[in-house]
Amino acid sequence: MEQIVVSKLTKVFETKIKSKDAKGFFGNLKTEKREIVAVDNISFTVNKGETLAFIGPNGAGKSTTIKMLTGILYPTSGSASIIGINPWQERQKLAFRIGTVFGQKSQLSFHLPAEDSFRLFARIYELEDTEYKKRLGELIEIFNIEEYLKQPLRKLSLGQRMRCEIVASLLHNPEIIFLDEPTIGLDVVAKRDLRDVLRNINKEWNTTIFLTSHDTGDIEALCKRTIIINHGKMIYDDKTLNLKRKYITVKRLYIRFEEKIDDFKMDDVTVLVQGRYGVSLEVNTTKRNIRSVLEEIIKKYSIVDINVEDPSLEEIISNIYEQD
Amino acid sequence: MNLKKKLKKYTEVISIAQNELFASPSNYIARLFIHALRISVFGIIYSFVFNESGITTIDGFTAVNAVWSLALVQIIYQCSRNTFTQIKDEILSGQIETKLNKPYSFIVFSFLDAIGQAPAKFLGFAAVTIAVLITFFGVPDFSIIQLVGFLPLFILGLILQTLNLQLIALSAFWIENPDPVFWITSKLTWIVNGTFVPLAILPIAFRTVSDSFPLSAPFFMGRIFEINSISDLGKFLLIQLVWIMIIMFFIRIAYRKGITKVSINGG
Amino acid sequence: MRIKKQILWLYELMNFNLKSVFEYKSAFLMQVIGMMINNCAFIFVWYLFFQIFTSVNGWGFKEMIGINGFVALVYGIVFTMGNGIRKISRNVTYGQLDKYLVIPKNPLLSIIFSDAHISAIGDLFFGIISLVIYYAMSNFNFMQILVLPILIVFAVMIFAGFIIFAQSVVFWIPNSDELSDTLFEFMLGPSLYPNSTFTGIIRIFFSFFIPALFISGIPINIILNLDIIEILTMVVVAIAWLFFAVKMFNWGLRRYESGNLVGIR
Repeated sequence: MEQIVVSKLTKVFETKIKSKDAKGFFGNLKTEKREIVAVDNISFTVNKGETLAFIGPNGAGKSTTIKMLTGILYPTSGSASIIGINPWQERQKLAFRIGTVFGQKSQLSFHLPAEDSFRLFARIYELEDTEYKKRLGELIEIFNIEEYLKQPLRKLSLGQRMRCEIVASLLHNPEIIFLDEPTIGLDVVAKRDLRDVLRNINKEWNTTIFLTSHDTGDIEALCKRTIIINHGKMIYDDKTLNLKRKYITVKRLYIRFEEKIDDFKMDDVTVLVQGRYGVSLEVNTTKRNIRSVLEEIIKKYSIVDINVEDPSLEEIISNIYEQD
Repeated sequence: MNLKKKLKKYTEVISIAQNELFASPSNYIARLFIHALRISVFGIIYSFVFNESGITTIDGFTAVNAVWSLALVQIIYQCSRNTFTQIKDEILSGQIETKLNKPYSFIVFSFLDAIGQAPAKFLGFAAVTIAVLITFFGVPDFSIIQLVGFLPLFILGLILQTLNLQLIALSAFWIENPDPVFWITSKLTWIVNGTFVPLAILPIAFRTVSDSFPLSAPFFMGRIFEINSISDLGKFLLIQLVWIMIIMFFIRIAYRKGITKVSINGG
Repeated sequence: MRIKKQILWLYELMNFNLKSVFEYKSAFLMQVIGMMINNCAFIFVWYLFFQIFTSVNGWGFKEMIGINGFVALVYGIVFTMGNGIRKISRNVTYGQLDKYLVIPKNPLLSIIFSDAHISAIGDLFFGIISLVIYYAMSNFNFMQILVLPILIVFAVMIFAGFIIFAQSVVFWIPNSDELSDTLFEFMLGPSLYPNSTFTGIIRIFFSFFIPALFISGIPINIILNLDIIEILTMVVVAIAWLFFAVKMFNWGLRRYESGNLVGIR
């Protein structure tokens, strides 16, 4: 069932910049108008219960898109429908049905315990007391925040705070949750725990997850689908798994030999590091398949150990950014 | 050589501050306009009040003097920045930590940032003040000493005002919410620094308090009409200088002690 | 039903803010008393002022008590729980507006009640006490007592309306929180001066453009004279200001949502 429908969404910003020939005291007064196309004619749909990563380099148009989908900005042209609602025309109506978490901006009070903020949110979302208490109980258990619920937020670690932020955004049982860099600044364990919890939410309650992140670990762990946006345009929209399949063009080999090797050479193979008893190689798999390389090496040399690796998702994505 | 490099980073702050002022010219112009309105209103009120009561002078102090006096005090306020809020917010938010490990003095930087806009603002506000007051209310007979005294009183006054704001802001290291303290002391100061009502109209006791209080000393420029000799001018300038040194001393202590207390929120 | 939920929300929000403020337990009483001392000091200066200028167009020290009390009361009512009203500009400049836009509540109300300025209770008490003293010194009749709460309501509307207007300037002039503060002071200042000094064009300006007189001298005048025309004028002005201010905020919000505000990202 289609839940998010985006069609030809475009956002052009008009800004004033200092004129190039502006000098001195009054230089700042001379300005030129410039148009920046932040989001350029993007279209996609998201079904209920999907987990989507919406990624791109800084300045690609991610935040602008999310702001339009949550009703904070209105577009220059195009349309979007979230749960059948036009976000920038019926923002408050939509707000009852979506949750938002901004990694860098807190929505909870810094000075008070989280449970006070939760109670306020219950009123904001007009929840009945019984409904609220039940839901809060469930979330406290899932997120495991019982022990610091009553401490002022400022006393909690970043990971604990993030959990509270996400709990607050789920109190009203939203159908979609938009997360903007939720794991930023978290340590490895905290990240893993947060991803587990979000995955559970998606499984148990079929909550659609719309995530932006620079951490490929988030993407791999959480999102079955990835959309990559750069310079305002969508350059990839497919399963996360396929990202690797489509974009892997190299494989890396780490080989240790029985005897000393001086100058390792092979056709269509790049030597990354030449050691005395080992080499790291990079094979361009579009030019030569890995099997033939392995066969040749085994024929020519005595091998002690061999490791074959794909480049990481991170490398793949940054290559995509660069190529674009 | 090294000194030149050091100075460069500080002069850079001043030029950035000036750029900030002109980055939003509509803001600046609007404030000049409101200043013109404000002093015009003072002028009307005091002309009316003196007239209605049939009083021409109070010990030589006329309605025109009153207006100029209030306007001059306002110039100092308009030329200073929201230094208190800036420093206080940086301390309370923890942002100050990012500035402590840089190779410059945070306090000096913030001082120059505050002062940096002063010349441009002074020109603007002084011009507007003179234009409005001369056109609608007339010019008092300023003596040579008084004319000479304007600039030094302004410069020292602005420096002291900025230092005062810095010192009060540094209390944020110890007090969770310095705003009420600031508010209350600011408002009380209005009574003794000639913001509310020119001191010449109030009993002498107010002038004595103004002489001895660091928060009112920056505004001596508003008491220009009390200056009739070099020694009068000297007295005011000396008081300002002494307070500048005392406040600087306390800023140093407060700052040194304060940064050891920088608490890290969360984990 | 909807109204009830809105009220529940606002009640919880105010509760929430009070808690935030008390969390620090920072000498709350000291603040309240400090404010009251402050206001008394100002009254004392007016006393000295009127020693010299005896009376200004029929207004004397007694009226100054009434005016200062009235303004302090309006000030206290608005800022004690609605202190967020003067943070609109800063919120916009520092990108803090978004969090009020993603919740299903009116953004203006959310911002206004997002903060409490507890020491304004000092002004509130001072206002009540001053007005009581003024009334005691003046020997007013029943109608003159009855009209007071009504005037306060409308004065609050004008006061709040003007602040919303001043703060909304940021949607057109970037980085203008100092300007907004100055505009506010420009309304508050003259309101605390002997109103009778304002005549002619100045009176019109400070009545209808910067409504300083409508939160001070005019209400006191109404209490003294019970002039129906003046009362009706005040009602109309109050409704007009509030309406205009909210409209301006919403226009500004629309501009914000276009993303074209200079300096916002």
